[in-house]
Amino acid sequence: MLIPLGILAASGVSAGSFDLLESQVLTGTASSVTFSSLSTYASTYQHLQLRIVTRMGGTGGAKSNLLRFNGISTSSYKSQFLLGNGSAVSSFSGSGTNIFLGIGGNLATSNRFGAAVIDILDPFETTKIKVTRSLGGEAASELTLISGLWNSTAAVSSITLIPETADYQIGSRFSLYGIKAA
Amino acid sequence: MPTNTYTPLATISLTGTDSEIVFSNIPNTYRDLIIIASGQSTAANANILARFNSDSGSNYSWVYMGGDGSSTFSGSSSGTSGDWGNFPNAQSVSVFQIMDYSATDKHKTTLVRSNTASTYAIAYAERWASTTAITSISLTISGSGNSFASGTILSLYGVIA
Repeated sequence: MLIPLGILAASGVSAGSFDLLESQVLTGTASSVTFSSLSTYASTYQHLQLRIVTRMGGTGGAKSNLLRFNGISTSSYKSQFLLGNGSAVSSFSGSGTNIFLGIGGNLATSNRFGAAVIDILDPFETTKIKVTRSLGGEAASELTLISGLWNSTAAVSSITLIPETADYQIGSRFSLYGIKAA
Repeated sequence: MPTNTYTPLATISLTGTDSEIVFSNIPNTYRDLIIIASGQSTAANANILARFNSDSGSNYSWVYMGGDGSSTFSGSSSGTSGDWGNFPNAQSVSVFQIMDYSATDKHKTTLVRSNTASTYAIAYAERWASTTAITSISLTISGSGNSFASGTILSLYGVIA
């Protein structure tokens, strides 16, 4: 069955509670990407979602996107991994100075990027620590499901994404979405 | 300024079997596409296969991991279609996130969650090795003569960035 989208797409029926808040597409390399002043969204949105497509410098093995909240770089984060590398599934955890997300692409192959979708649940609540979940991967390397935790009840005011190695490359995209409360 | 997105572009509800679903004339005004497939196929052991822009070259590759209720597994492969996960003749729900589909400076990555409670829970990372913007998506069921079953619903959404 062929479904031509011309008419349906043009009508663009749009409803619901999922909004694009901010987006950054790199036109030069960057050592990190930050979304700041997020408290302005607290009264409208219950959850946040990051959608990222990234490429890092270097040509070595799989490297992760890393996440920090509010510029905090102390050892207050934890990540639980389920990882498939094309041969086996492994499960492990780590505590440290950031949350791990899915891996990015690198310079080993032209046009090679990785992608991840990250849900940040109840980021503005001050009665609970912050939890993330992510699905990410790069087809030539690995795939991950990761649960992340920031051990703080502070409301999220900024999100910083950092490449595990080198810099983010041109064309890397970082988009932040809000999901409204009822 | 926040902009409402996650726009429904097309929904097809099958009233009979169908061997191929094609979303065509996809506009380049969004950043990501999301397809949700809810239903089943006509075969006990079958996967959804995907092609972009009618490309039948060996330009698709993927890595996956999953569990079958007693053990885990992971693998990788490549081919002339993307393998988008298990879709047998039992109720299944799959979500396909096609990232940066309209970008012309990168290969296209699709993240897949494939869920069939009676068989597997699987996730995939897919790559279509082309920098061409995606304008059509063809979905079929693996195996000769297999089809999407009546009652299957496929929904396409666009997400701006």
